[in-house]
Amino acid sequence: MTAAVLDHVVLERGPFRLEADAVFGPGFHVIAGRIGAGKSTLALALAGGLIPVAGAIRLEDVSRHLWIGQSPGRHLTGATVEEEVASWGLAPELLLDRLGLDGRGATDPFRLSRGEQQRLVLGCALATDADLLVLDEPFAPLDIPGRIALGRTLGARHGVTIATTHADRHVPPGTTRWWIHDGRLTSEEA
Amino acid sequence: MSDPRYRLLAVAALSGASFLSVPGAIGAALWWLVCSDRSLPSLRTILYLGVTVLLAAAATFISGGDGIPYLIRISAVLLIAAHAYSSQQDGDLFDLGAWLGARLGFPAVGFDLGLTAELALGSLSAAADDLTQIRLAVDQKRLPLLPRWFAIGTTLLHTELRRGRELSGLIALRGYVGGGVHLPLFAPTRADLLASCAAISVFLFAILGPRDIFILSL
Repeated sequence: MTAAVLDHVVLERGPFRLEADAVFGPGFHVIAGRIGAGKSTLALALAGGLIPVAGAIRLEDVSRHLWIGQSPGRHLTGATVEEEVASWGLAPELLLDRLGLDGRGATDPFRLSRGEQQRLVLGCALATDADLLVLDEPFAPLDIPGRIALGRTLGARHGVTIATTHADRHVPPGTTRWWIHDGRLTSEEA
Repeated sequence: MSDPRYRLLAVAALSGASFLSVPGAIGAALWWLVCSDRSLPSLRTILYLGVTVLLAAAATFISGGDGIPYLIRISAVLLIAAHAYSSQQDGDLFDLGAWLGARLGFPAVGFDLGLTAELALGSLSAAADDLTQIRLAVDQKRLPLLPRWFAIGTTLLHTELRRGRELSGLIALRGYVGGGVHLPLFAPTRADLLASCAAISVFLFAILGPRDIFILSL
């Protein structure tokens, strides 16, 4: 079974400390918590960008995993929107229309607004075959219709999808909810 | 060392001593052992820097230069740089610039230089975080080596330029035009004074050399 397993994980960044012991199985998981609770730190660790000081993070039956951070600009590597889509191994002609960027294939992606950049990067990530997708505040730069559409898409996605967010009113029913409080990750059922 | 003025003096003296001679470099390394908190950068940074310095020393040695003395001197400079960076506190450079400018009779220039240095150091720290995340993001695309490096470089540049633009806009919005008033408070300790004196002694030792020191003492 595809899963991201946090086995008695302890993460530290300066004075900050987060403990997590959890299994993220197939489906959509939302991690909420106050600003500075450690949501982005946990997302970064799940992507391999931060090594736990104790415990282990295991990705089981995962052939490709993707992490999308809070700033879409950090993911842009193409000189044009078309090149950007192609850099993900995708065909631009099939995707740009769906992303609302039809006719803007020759535009420099750094000249797009933050919301458009987010749509571009998320659209590319969702179009890949990643079986683990970790998204850090994916709803933040989007407008309300964009948030609702993204919530639906993430809820219907196969594999494991984990999103940190404050905007959890846009997540669909059936989503597994997690909470970070006092430096500890807990499921809402706990 | 808590007082940034003494810290700057010590770092300048020890960097000079390390660069001037091998005995000075050894003295600076001893100072680092005794007077600093002996903090080092991450293992990865040490490896990158170590390999770079080793390669430069090997090239100097092969071309007939002073390979091993060069290695010792640059290693000591890097030790002192690591101490300077790790002991830096937010606001230190701003305090120093404003204090130095006022002492030299150019308070507005000191304020501006201090603010610029503080913002530059803050950006450097933010850029390190950006680089970690950009590398992670770019690696996910499985690009070949050269395009990967190019992509990381350009994305980092774009990110820093954007941050610089936003920061300058914010400062301008708050009414900054040039110069200002800042009265830093310093609280030097006895340890600051002793560590600075030791650093100046190392510098003198590097300039005069062991033989001249002994002659002077006679």
